[in-house]
Amino acid sequence: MTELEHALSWWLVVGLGWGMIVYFLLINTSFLILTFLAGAEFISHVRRSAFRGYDELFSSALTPPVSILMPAYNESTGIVEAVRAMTALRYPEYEVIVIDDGSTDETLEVLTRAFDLVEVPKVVPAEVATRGAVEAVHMSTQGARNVVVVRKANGGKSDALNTGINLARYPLVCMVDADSVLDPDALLHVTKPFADDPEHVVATGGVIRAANGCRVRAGRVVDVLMPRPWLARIQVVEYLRAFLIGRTGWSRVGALLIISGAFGLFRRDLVVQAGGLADDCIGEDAELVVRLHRRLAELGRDYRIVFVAEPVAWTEVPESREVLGKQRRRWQRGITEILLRHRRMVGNPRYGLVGVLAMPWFVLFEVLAPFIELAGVVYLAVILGIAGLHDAGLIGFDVDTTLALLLLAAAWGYAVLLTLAALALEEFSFRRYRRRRDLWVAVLAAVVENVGYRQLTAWWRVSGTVQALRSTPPEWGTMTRKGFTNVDAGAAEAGQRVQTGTRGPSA
Amino acid sequence: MSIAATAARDLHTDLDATAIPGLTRAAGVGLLTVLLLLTLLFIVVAMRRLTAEYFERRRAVLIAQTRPSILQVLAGDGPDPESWARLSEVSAKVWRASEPGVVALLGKVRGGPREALVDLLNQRGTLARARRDLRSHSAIRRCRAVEMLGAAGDGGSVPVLLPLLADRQPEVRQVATRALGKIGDQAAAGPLLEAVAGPHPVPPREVSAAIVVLERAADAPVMLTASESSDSRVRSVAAEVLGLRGAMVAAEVLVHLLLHDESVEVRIRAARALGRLGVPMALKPLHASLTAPSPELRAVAARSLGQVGGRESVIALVGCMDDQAHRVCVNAAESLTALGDPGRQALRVIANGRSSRAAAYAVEALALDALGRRQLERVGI
Amino acid sequence: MSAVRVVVADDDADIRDLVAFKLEAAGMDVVAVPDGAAALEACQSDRPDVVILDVMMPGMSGLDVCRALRDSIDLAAVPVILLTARAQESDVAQGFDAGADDYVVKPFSPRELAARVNAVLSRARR
Repeated sequence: MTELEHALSWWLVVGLGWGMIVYFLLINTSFLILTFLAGAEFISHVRRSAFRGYDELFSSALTPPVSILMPAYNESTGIVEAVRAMTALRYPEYEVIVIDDGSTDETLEVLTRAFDLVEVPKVVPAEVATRGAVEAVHMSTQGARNVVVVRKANGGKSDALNTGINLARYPLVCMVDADSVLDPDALLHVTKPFADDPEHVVATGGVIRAANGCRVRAGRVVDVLMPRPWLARIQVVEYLRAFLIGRTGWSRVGALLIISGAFGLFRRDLVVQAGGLADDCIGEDAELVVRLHRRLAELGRDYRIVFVAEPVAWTEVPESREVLGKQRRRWQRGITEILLRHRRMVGNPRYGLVGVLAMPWFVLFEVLAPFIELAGVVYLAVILGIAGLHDAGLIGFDVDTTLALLLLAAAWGYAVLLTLAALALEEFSFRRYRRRRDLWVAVLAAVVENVGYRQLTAWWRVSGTVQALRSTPPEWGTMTRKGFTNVDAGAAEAGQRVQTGTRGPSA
Repeated sequence: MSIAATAARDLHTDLDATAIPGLTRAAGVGLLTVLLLLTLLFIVVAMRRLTAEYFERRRAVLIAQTRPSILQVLAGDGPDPESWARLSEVSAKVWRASEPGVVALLGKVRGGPREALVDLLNQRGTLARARRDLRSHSAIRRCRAVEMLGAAGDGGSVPVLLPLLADRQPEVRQVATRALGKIGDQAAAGPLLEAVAGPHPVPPREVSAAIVVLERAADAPVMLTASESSDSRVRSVAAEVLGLRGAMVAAEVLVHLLLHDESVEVRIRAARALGRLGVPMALKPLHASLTAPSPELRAVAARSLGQVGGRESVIALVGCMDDQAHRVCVNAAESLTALGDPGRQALRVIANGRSSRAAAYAVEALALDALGRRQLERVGI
Repeated sequence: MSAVRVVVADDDADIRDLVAFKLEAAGMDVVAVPDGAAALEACQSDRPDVVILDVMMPGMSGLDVCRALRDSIDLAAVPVILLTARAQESDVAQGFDAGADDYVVKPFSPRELAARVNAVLSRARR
């Protein structure tokens, strides 16, 4: 082999290799910093939680009332239980608005029976522009009096939420998914920042955790357990890392870019002023938050968007590869579209830490990451393949494998450590896993995540980004839901539910 | 070989000899450090989990020794020397373990036996220790101490609690606010109001809630002075409190705030408060506010008129039904239904009238009103 | 005459213990349960003389239980006392709308509660 070839190959191998190693070290170390921040936040925040006066908030007449918005499309199997659970939240004054987005099944009928709905000639203002016309508004007369159901022509999730915003009568709106199971005090927790700092706080979000495998009774998660399928197990730890740690860390820095649509609380007037949710964007919930950042920064307002680590919204994560794939493609496509749409904010000090820190981070480490990830896989395969062939005496070309090993350590090994750190912090601060063996399963899942799952999601994310760049029509997945492990005999027939919708992107 | 290639090869050799191994070592060390940190974290967590379970079990055993006697004291019909004696003699360790439970229980009961429990706290030195802990470096300790003093209603510690309204930690400030409310000493009203505008402010809502429960504080001159404060936040709190606990005197102050205050927030609170008070002298000012520039103020005024009542408002509210803002129309229509038959009659006229927008609101209000009625019938009233 | 049977439902163990203590000292038979569904079950299995319900409970709220009792045939006349932290006008009104006989706000006096229980019992007997 000539010197030139040797040199070239060296440069390729070493240059590429080191480039990727540095990249992974950067991304993982930045997440390590987030982990430290999150840890600090938990240690101070959680210990003082008992003194925040949630009980007083609950019994006070001055607590700001909330309108919960729940968009629903063909949710007839689980909607009654979901709405009932929402009406049983520990909060003084609130209403639950279910927006039936033109369901073709019995969603409305089922709700009508369960809550004794009566149609009322309610005037729905058009403060936010909507597409699907409102057909009827129903209110509950029996039992829980604070349930409102809006029937409208199909227009998608953003449109449904915008209709809900129009109809909401309270100053705070809480967007939830039809399958979000909230902790009973969750609303109190996400409202507290508004109650404490009404002049500055504009939006708050809570943690999203995977409900798979947990015991759900009467609309509450009563026992947190790890699910059985490995795909679900991996997602459980992934959500802990991305949501619990990631968002808490960003919030502590003051650069929380997005809040999940599965559980987010907003000031209604500001959302209306911003124009509501965008209906031409896939990650509409995240896009709203970014747009709020943009508007408020441009208006020069002093504002805060806060992530509260305690209140949890439990949601069912996909257990089939197909649905998971569609979901991840959608999320990545969403985040790419948002970054493209608001690209003037990237690196722009006018938008504060969000512009200078968070958005570049997302571009470099959320959008670019799966590309580098896949490149790394190819690189490793080639290097190890060549080394193997060389050792087998089939070729004379040799490569130094230490670099490959270093890459493995920097990318996967480091990632495992970060996930384990997330687990440790969860255990330390919240201790929701009662059974010790669930913790061991989680540890194992953290390791297994890097063997296959990570690469798969990288592939899906790459295709999501590519889709966004090409602006191909979106892919809406239908998720056949299994329902939770339900202790209640009567509700054990949760059965199959079909859901079409989006949940916020991760991290 | 070309120059570029030679340079590249030379650079390669250099790097290979010096930088690369150095970098590799650095990266390796870095990763090992992270691994070490993590192992440490793991050990800490594992230890905590194991010991936490152990300590909890031990605490439960300790608490079980005193709980029956405590419940006996609280649920008893009169003085209970037996239980009292038992609780006085229990060891300090057992007592310390029971304290959080006692604080929780104190918050749930009221009445004579509760005072007996407070006496016990005094006798065992718990309250004295709590007062000392107010100066502790640990914010959690300060919080717990404040909570204990508040739950016990310890009037004597008000002077030492007041400075905590300006504590560095927000939770301490909030617990102190609540504790002062529970203790009920009127003297705290002034400092509480000042705390809204201080350098480390207490949330206005907490202050309002605390002042409202202070005995007769709402009638005190302090509130009237507060309504003239230069800080709009203080005036807001004053307006809110006066609405929740005010007497006739309050109405005059609120009317003044509604008509003349420079801050819209204060005027909105005043309007809301006047609705809560429901006094006739609020009618004229509220009518005037129906044409205020702020849509939110108009909406609140419309709502309050429904709470105050009186036929005089019917005409004014009817005038509101053509307002640009949605909320104003909804509230005006709803208030008209609250004004009895004259209001409903007016709504029916509007419902059949020319303005379709106002008619829609009228129809809505009438329908909801009918719904409300139907509810009562079902229960047999 | 057999002892008075009381069903107490509250998800707060302190409240359950306090009420049970107080009423048992007065010679009543107390069944304490942590949620609404269990309360309904306890009422259906053995008709109580009075039911004390917290309003905010997981699943079925105290109001739901109260309404269920009022809708049933054999339990409709059982007196219900609501014991709750929710003290707003609208909450009280909602409580009575649901069919409660009395409404006690937390923090409460156990002695007062016992007196109200007795009052409600003697009214029911008449």
